[in-house]
Amino acid sequence: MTALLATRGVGHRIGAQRVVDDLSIDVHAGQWIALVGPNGAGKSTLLSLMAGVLPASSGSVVCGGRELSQWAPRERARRIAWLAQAGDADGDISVRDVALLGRLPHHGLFGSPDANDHAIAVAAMVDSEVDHLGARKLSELSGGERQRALLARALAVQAPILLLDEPTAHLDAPHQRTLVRTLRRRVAAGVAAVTVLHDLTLALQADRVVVMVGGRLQAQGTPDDPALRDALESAFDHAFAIRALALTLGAGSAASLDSAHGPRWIAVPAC
Amino acid sequence: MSAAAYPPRLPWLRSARGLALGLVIVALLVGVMGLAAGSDGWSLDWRADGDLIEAIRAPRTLGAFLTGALLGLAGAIAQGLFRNPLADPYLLGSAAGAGLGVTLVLAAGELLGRVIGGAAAAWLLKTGLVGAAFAGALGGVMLTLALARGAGRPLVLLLCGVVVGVMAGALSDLAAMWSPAALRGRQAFLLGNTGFLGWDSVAVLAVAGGVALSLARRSARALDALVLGEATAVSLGVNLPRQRLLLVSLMALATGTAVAQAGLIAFVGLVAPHLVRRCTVVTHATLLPLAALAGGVLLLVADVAARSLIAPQELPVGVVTALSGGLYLLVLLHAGAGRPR
Repeated sequence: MTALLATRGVGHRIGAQRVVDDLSIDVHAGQWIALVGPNGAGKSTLLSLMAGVLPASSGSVVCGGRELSQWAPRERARRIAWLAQAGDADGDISVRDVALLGRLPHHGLFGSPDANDHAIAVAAMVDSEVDHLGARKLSELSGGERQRALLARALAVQAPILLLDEPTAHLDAPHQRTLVRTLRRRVAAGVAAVTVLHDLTLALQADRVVVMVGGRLQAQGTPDDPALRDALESAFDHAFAIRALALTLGAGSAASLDSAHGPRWIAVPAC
Repeated sequence: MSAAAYPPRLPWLRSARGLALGLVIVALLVGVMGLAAGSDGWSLDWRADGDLIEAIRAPRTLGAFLTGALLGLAGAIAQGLFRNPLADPYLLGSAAGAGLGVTLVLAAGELLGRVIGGAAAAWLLKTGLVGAAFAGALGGVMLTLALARGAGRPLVLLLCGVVVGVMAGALSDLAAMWSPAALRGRQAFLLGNTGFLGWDSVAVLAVAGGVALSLARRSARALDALVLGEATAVSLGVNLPRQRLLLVSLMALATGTAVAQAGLIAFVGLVAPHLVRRCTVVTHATLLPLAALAGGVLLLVADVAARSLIAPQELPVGVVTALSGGLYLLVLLHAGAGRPR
């Protein structure tokens, strides 16, 4: 199966420091990848490289068989939607207009959003549960509301590749659950999603987990792979242990959890 | 704390159309006052003062509005481009560059006066001042851009603007030391003055305003995207280096033209976009013309106040805008401090 997006020995330096070093991963359609690792592992930098918003110092990022740098900016923007880490956006722009900005790659700087663009933006706001905040300024929202508004913008692009940097930041538990459901729906429809996550229990719900340490790829695999889980515990110096949720709750609840795509594994702090 | 907890006192101002209508009504009312404001009090008698109104008061009133509009537009561009609600259109060395240009021409005029006679030098001076201010403003911005090696790094660009401002200011001081006449003329320029605005100025201001506004509106969506951060704007397909260069050029055109015609008018460029954003929530496609309209109204009001407050004498309009703009920012600061987020 051809990857929608792939990094080939990609690297990024800041001065002499290799923030991302010789990293190769494939992102396939209909797959959710969770990117995890300790602070400073290079996860956000890798996601920025994959989004084409940061130039690679070495290696390359390939999208649709062509190097990302060869795509025209708007073409690339239609294929890859990227949600930045929370905290950069704070302005006097309404939530509705934030969501509509997701349509910018489609109609361009000199075009205007049409009825279809408006409908898609509204649908993205509904998915992110910010449709009731449409007229509010971004700067007047709480951290969680702002994060959901920005998520609506990323969803409104309707790109086949969705790169989300800490999408659950500032979100309460119900909204985290909504986000996972939305993500699952999009992935089931063929979208390739890569999310940087700090909540390991959430990350272990993904189809594939990529573990980064010190800018390098430490391990990758499915959450059911014991080697992956060992590598994950090791990456965080065994500060937590991964347990099967069925064992934690009792055998009787395992089947219902499985069928609902719910968490099968839970990361518990090591004593 | 939600915005709903602070209901606006004038709900109709919350809509862009309501705000635009309100500003147009104020502009027309104050514009009429501008036509009537004379050194002997208020008079709108066309039979008695027709020539005066047509030749002096009308171009001055319209010119003040257009100068304010250019500054309001440049302020809205600066605040969007640098993602800073306190960004000022004079940031990139245009004000200090214009000041230096004016001082050098004034000093050269004094020198020339000794050689070719006072009348010829005065004529050269009058035509040269506007050109020198414009060239100085554009030169200041170009030098800032050159030192920052383009508009790619906003923080470096702003710092280079500060450096150019300080150095051009120092050179102006040096030139003014050698020429007392230049010192006086420079002082008048620094205080801002709409008294010399004629129909030729109105034509220049209108053309520059039309070009700057129409081109800036084409970049409005790039400014919207920049609200979400530079990297997000890039991820949305915005060609950031090209847009930055275009917007900085438009800022320089608008500021340079305004400064060349009316000297340094403080705070209008900073306050006008603020006022609009405080009243209504709009994208840059609407904010840019509204900020221009608000800037025009602000300078129009300040100009009429400057002409009538201590009539028959006049206050420098830059002093009125600086005092009222400073007060506005103080009120904003304290209102903001008491308003939980």
